[in-house]
Amino acid sequence: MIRSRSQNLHLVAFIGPAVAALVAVFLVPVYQTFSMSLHADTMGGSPAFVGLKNYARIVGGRNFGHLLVTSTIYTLGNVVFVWGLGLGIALLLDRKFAGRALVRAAFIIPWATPYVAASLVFALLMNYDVGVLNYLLSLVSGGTLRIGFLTDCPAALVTLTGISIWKLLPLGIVMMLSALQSIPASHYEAAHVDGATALQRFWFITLPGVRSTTVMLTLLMMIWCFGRSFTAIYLLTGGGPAGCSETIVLKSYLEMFQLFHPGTAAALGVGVLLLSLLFAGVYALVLERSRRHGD
Amino acid sequence: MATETLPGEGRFGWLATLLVYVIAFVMAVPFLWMLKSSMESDAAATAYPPALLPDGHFLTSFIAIVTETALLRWLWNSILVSAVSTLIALALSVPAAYGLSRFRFRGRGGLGLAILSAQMMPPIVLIIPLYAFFIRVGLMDSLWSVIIANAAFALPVMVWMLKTVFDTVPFEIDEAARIDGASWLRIAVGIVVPLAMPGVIAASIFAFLNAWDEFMLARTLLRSVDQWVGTIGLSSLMGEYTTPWNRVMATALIFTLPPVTLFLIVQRHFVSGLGAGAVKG
Repeated sequence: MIRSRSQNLHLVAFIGPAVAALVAVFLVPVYQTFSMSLHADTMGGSPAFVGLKNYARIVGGRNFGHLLVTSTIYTLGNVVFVWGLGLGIALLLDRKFAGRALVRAAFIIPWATPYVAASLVFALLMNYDVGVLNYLLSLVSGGTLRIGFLTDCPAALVTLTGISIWKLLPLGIVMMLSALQSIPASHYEAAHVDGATALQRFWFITLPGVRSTTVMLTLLMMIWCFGRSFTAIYLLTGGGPAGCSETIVLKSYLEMFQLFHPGTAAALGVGVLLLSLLFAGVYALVLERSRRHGD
Repeated sequence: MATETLPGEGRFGWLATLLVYVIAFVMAVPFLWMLKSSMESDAAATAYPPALLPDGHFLTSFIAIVTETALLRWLWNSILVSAVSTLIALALSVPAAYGLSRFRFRGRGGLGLAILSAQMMPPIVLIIPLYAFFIRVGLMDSLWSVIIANAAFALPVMVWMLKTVFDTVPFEIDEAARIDGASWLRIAVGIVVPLAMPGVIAASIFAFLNAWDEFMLARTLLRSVDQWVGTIGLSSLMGEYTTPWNRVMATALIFTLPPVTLFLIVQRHFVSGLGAGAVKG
């Protein structure tokens, strides 16, 4: 490693610009949002300092509980299904079979599809009047069943959670597949010799083998889904019907850019940040611990 | 290697394979439906029940959107924003990642962790004040606002990705070049970056796709139709009940193909890169 007199100068020249950019676009805005959340809920001028009043109003509001429930269902739905389906599909993929390249390409498509484009396709697939999903439902039910996937509650929340799961599943598959491949084949051989059943091998070898990746994926998904629960919701339901699919992030955005309540919007944003920080703290701890284990 | 003990092998292997095909198909359905719907006539787009195959009007909707919307302009704006923000992010992150990988200094671990945690930042917290900032400096409705923001948003992940790949390049190479009198910048850009090329390309594509996909900030900052990027132009068709689905899907397809192609290219690149590493090491 480098230790010389010219090092300090080089250090500043190499790392300085990136650090300055990060401070300007991450740290300063966070401070400003925090400050906005402590000031009066009006646009323009210099709003008065109101302390925690914006927070109190949000927590005391009658929609607050509902907002938390919606965000939790959305986030947990993503975590559980991206992990579970990711592991299941990874198990199926972790062997030789014909057509692997094509299958892999199919699994990558959701990941690569821009969120706006994905939202529009799902709007068409799940359209109440002309959507193919409702057509199939009516075929199966003999014309009696039709679901407002984006216009009913709780169908809208379930649909939006499903779209996000579809989008993030490739990440789950890739992470779980690499975790599976890191399990030594000798463990399975030993279990085979001992006469373990497939279920026992899964329970005693596969699950412990993917444990650290599971923790990592879970936390990453929590931060990711919770903090970015926006694009599809904004485009497809706008949080509706009647707040049914409204997450904290969406609420914050609407308060800021449609209702012009900067104080409320900022306070909601700080709430998102604090919860993400909690997750990130756990994530850092896990990362640190698994690295020590690695050494 | 006794692969027969792996799950999904053995007697019921064919069943697992069949299941994989079915799941892969289901995952691809939205894309296939987009493809199908984009190649329909206006009449077929609103037909109920929906047809399984397009009715032969392969170019109708594409011609319509190119002539009737600012699609080409949005496409160009998206390319511009993604490419320029990627270049800016590269210019900032390559030296930073090199510094984090090679220089020893107090607080190195802490700085790395801080950069890593920045990537966890929920965008909404940044966008509220950034919106006010860009209005103040007069960059409202300018592509530069989105370029700057996207470059910065990509920075944490890029620095971290690049640091990880630079760590795999042996430090002896730097020292040898140093003895030959090369400057640090020259070593970083001329020697280490080429050796870590697959990782550098992956990081660049990551930044490019993030900018290509970014919606929230562009939605708030870009107001006039000529300044819209793809995500905004595409989303503007959402509430338009007068726009037939075939045209909406054709537009969606045009903005989906570049990232899908890039992903498939990187995938191959990664596989060959891993192969090369295995031969060497």
